[in-house]
Amino acid sequence: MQKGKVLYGVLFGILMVLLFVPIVQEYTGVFPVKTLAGVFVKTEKPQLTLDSYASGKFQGQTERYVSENFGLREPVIRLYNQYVWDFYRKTYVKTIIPGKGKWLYGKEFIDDLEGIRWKEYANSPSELRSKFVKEADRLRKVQEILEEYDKHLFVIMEPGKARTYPEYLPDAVGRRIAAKETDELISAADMYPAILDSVGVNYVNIDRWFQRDKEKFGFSLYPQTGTHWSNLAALHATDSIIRYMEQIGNRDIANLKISSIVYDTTMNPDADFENLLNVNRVVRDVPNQYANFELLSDTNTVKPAWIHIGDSYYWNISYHIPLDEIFSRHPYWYYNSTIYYDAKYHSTAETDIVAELVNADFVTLGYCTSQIYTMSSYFAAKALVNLCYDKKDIKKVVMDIVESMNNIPEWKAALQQKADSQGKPVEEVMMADAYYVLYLDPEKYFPELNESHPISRNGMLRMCVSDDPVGRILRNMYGNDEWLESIHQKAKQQKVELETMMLRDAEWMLNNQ
Amino acid sequence: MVFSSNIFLLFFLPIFFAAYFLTPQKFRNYTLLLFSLIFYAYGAPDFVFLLSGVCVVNYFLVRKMVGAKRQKLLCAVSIVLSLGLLLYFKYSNFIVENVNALLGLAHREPIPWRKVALPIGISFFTFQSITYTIDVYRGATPPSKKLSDYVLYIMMFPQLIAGPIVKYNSVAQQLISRKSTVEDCVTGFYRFVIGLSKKVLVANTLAVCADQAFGMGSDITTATAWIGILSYTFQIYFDFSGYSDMAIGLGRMMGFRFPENFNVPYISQSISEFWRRWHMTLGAFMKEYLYIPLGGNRRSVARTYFNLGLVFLCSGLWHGASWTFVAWGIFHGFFIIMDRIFLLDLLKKIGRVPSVIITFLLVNLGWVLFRADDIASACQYYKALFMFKSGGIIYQDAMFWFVFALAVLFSFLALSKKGQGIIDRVFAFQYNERQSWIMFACSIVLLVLSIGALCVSDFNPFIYFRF
Repeated sequence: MQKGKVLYGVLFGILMVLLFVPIVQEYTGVFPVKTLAGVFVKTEKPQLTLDSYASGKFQGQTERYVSENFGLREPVIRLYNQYVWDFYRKTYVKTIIPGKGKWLYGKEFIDDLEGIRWKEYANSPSELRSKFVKEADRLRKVQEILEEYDKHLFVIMEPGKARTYPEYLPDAVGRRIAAKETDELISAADMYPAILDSVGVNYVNIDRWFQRDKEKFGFSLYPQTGTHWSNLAALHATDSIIRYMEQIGNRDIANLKISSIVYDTTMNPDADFENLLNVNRVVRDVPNQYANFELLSDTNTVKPAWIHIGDSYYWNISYHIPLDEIFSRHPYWYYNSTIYYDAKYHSTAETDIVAELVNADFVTLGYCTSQIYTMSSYFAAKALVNLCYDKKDIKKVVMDIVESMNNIPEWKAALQQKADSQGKPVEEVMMADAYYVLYLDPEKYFPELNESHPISRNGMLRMCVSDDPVGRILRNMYGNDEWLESIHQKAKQQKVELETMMLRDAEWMLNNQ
Repeated sequence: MVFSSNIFLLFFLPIFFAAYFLTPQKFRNYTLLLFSLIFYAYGAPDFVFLLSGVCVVNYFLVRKMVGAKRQKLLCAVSIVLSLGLLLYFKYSNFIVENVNALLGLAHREPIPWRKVALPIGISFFTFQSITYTIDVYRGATPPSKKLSDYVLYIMMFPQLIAGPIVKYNSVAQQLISRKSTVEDCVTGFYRFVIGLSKKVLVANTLAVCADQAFGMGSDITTATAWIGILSYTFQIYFDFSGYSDMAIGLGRMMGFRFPENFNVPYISQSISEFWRRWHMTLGAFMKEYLYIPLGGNRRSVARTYFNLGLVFLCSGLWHGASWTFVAWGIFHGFFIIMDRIFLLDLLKKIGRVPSVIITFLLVNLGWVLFRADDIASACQYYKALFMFKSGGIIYQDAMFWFVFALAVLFSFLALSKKGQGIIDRVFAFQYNERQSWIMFACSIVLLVLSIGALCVSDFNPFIYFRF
């Protein structure tokens, strides 16, 4: 009896201590914890007011806040995730689908394979097709204008893990696909290349190449627990992209040659999905393969400038390949929103698109099979408008749109709300949205763009690609980031457009130097 | 606040128990009452004063009733007060909706009506108030000497929201003097965690399939319909019995002995037996406070059937103000009467296993009414169950099937003597040293897994919260 009392006394003591551990950890952080991977929208600390309490808002917010912030939350979640992964091969990350043999897939890639992803972007297959046709037509026009100046644009059809390796998909996916008619399996990865072909846009179809020849490669084109192509696949793809550039640009560019393959499970494991599982133990059991390679070049080899607009597949190119040794410049426009180059980044909205295009020899647009639906993230429309019109003409249209916004009370109120939520002046939000409206349907505001071969009315562009001395100076300005930045600052100080300042400086240089 | 929420598990529970055990024995009821009011006020700020006020009025009404000349009248007033509250908050919307539908058919103007919000736990609040009044009226127990003890009986947080329905005479003595030992606290904790795991790890997992199946409308295949209703059958059992286990466990931790509410109901060999094993405290309440006062089976056979029908009709309505609950009550009432007429004899003749299967099937069919949004949806679901519509089962992951298999196993384990023995040992509240260490370790693991599950899944309230 006494022994039982002691036992329960001990258990009671342990229990009370354990119940208080999360509270102690929350307020002291005494145990070190590894933070969870992923992006979370955290609940704000609830404010107790009579209204928030009576309406139940405070309670709801408190429940969420406690769930997101209690002490030892991270190890508890990792432990639970480990349990569901080890026992059931399951994850609560909605965007990840576990396949066979510990392979992890992105849900959007599977949705694309099953012919349902397009429904997020269009109401019917014909609507999707006409969107793609419109996009391809704009790209073709941009491609033709750039070709006039010996600059080349092409699309890279990047692969998708689910299309390349359907054999590791869960059986349920296979059953769902088998239950569908072929014409129900609509995928942009099939539709878009056919449209690019018919419209006449240059493209490289790496997706089809990987599907066709995956057995010949002799290595895995995708890491087991990552979503992007493997280091070796990216290497092969880049070599093909370079060879295509050589072909359409008639230039000799350095090529890549693999000298040996290294097997490794730890070196830059490309396990982004695995990280998101937030488990304690490593999931992957297949080592990745990495290449030692050399660059093949000779005296005829040139270093062109390359702009790549696209998704995160680019990172596996830039991580492993010394692009500085192949290209003179290689800015990366992530989804046409942020430009990464030279260990810096800035928004495309702050960038002069014409200046960038003038400064490039090759412009590529690369999207993997699940992201083609986003098309070029308005790059085609923006490039077309800016290549064809002077800034002052574009600004005039934008100001007209701003005026419309001011004249429509509901629109203005919505923008005011948006400005308030972003903590920005409403004028700034209006301007940004007006540009967005313009690039959404540029042909509405510039009907000449509907012409099959629109003529560039951008005086600056015409001048800077001409052979006259001012044009040469302008090209040098565009090619020198520091110089361009200093002119940009000067233009700001003098409150004139960048182009005006560049012209003034170029003419001054010509007359004085 | 629900028991299966992180704010309860990680803040309310430790702080409450620390406060409770640090309070001297004779003041512990005040600590418990204070935390119970906080618990209720947190979830239902609009109603805490109303329910507390009704408690106070009822307390003095019942005190006045004792030895009064018009005892019957005061008893009736007390019951009407409790039932009136239930009627207004729970049934007024339903009544007005139906009256308006009839007025619409007669091309009359509808009654203007603003929907009334339902205070959580009102059904259990009402029943416990009634048991107090009637127990005191019958002389089964003297009235509570202290207002605080009476309010505590009604509003004690472990069982206020979803039961079990505790009769006043069964806890009256415990309210005045009880011994809460460390053994009670530890074994109560085991029971609490078992309940929490039943809710979070089993019921919530099964709920996904049940929700999918009942949300499919006419697209549902026969196979999916069956797996959907089976999932719901196990979900509601593990959900509700899980809540009862948590309530019983919490009560035990404070030294209370709350009545058991479930006794492996799916091994019942008839619907009559099912109701002796399912929501036992409701069954006992209905029997003692409605069926017997109506005359029970002491009058004619026809009157007995009428009484049974009425009891189950009320029981259905108590679960919710909707025609589906009425139909569910009638469904069970019908089979209870059939048991009396011939079914019980027939089931006895065909043997144990077939009887269990038939009863289980009938219970499943009843749950369709319980789960469906309206009668039309229920009919559509019945059609899907029996008018064979080809196609596979809607995809469920390995976790679902494992948990489903566990649910089947634990629901029917008691069919064997050995299985019943295991259940008895786990739920015994008495363990030897080795068993206690095992139970303790299992409880901690299950508690951590449950908290983890709550963090990664969405908010899942208890099914019985709406009753």
